[in-house]
Amino acid sequence: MKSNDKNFIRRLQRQQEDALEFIVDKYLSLIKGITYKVLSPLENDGVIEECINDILLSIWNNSKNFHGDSTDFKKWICAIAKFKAIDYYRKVSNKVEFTSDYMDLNPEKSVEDQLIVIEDKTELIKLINLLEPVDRDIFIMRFFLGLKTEDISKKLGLTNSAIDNRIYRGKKKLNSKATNLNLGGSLL
Amino acid sequence: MKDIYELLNDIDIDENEFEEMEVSELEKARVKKTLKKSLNQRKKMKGWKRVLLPTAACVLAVGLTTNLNPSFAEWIGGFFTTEQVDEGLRMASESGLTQRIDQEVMDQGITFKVEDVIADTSRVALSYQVVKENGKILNPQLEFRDGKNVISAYDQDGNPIEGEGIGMSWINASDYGLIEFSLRGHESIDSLTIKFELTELNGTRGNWQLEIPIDLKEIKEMTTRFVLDDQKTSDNGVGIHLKEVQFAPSSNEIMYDTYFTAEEKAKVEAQIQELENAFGNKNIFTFAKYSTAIQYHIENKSGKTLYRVNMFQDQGHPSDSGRTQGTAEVTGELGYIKRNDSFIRQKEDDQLTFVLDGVIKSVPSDFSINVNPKELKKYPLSFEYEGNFITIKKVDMQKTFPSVETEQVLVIEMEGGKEVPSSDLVEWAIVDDKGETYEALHSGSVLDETDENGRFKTNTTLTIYGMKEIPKEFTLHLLLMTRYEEVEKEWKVPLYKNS
Repeated sequence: MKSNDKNFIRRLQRQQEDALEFIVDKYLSLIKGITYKVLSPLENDGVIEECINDILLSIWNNSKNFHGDSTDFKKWICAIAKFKAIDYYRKVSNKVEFTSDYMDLNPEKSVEDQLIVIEDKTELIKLINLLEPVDRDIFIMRFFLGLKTEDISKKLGLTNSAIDNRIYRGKKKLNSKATNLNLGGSLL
Repeated sequence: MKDIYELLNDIDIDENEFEEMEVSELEKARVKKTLKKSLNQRKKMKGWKRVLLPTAACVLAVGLTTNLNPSFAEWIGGFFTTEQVDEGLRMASESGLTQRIDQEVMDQGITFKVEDVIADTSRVALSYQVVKENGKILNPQLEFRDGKNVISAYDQDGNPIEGEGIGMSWINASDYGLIEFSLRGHESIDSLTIKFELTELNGTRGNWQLEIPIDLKEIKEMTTRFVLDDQKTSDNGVGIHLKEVQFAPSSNEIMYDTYFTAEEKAKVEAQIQELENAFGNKNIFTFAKYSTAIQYHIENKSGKTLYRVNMFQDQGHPSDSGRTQGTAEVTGELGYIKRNDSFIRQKEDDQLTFVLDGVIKSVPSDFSINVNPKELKKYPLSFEYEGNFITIKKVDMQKTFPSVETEQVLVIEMEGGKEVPSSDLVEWAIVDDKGETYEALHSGSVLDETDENGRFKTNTTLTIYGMKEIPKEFTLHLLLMTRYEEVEKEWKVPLYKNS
């Protein structure tokens, strides 16, 4: 019994473990590449390893939320890998801040690091669901996947200022919703 | 609400902007091992949901228990004549289907030898041995992890044969190994090639490659197949359509559909709508969980039961006998499932008759119960529902995976007793004191032991993601349950032609 290029998504969604092994064989080099790029400044291989495992388990646990073919699947796991890696980066780098001046090693974090600091992701996702589809995509690309304004504008065919504007308005909207919902944290 | 994984579907990301990094085989193996560990921790508690998985594909289960002296096996005509293989293979062997292959390859002083092959339209089985230079027969167990050893099958055009069922088995301390490929769904194949690419035998690294061609053209004529005319019935809201049977030298196969009757379907759809209204169309409503199935047995002309599928008899969970494989294909229609069950042939299997015993359906439920976690310590909360007597023992926050830094989950532990037959309580959701709904992942098992009331002991764990703390109070809602109902009137269908 084996997974192959044609059936592995279906097998994954049926929770057949060999599909996950197939994904490791096929995509580990890609997942590792994405994770390293984000997390290597932390110089902590243990975190990278944990993050890679977490990415693969998330693919397994959420396989039913994937829709599409194998090209879409590759995009989907790239997105998950990037999102998870950034998430790990934030968690770990927040911790080290207290103990050392680690963060100074990475001074160019300004753009990607305009972060939303609501601690609870679930609640943030809840908020993002309230946005218009275009704004939702912009927010995810920017804050979960760490894309720069220029990259987002290319993808969506909008100007840089239009993207910035939408982010500004979106934040305002989310801020008011967050206050209404009495959620902790704030939107920068 | 869409969760992040669903939202990520919509993001147009350019996968080419990411660079791959070199990964060694060792690294892959290590990642796989860690994942397996994490998955196994959760699997321990999974058990009885098996029966109604939408696409339950059981691997060929070949029970090999007895031992036999190899020289004796050879003397009387090969592994397939021994008690170590199933009756279907023995019968096929008796009718002269065994092909003596005796193909072998040697490396590092170790010979890998394929002795016999039995093939029909339903499966291919090969017997093999691992032998040392001095004639000593080694343990035939093959290691398949990390691609150390690969065995694959190809059709006449070189296309790989994908099957749900490639079974391999061997007996410790015995001298023969057995490899089986299921050919279900590949009835049109004329010939196939089995390819062995082995790099480790009995702990020794080396290179053993073999290709075994198998001709199926003539063998195909030994398989009969016929369509059953308009064999439909319905009971307790479940419809059954028996479509076709196939008899091959080593196994029998039956193809049928199960579905909700129009009336039941309307009822289920209305109930789903009600649930969606109450809880929102959250992740709670995953695909193909509303399903149908049947319990039946097949008897021979003297009325002896040879095969049983999903039968209750004396257990707290359904069991099969005489079946090798069952597959189910979910269609686009609610509860409509195309099924195919195959059975190892038995000696007395002439003039078989299908007998329907009961129907099984997974349907929405409106059962709910209020829980106050603090009070549980003093007063465990018990309830009874459709033959299940359950006590909620504990509500607790736990870490998801010890090795990975992730969020905490709420875990609800329940135990109790189950009458036979009774409904299975399959999917739950909880609504907390703020009115927020969460999906509860269910896992559980039914033990073979009974309690003082003669009920089979059960334990169930519900896991809830996304909660930060234990709510002061919450409501547990049962969303889906599987009901078993005996048929009111026995339905029999002869699986042979009246001539």
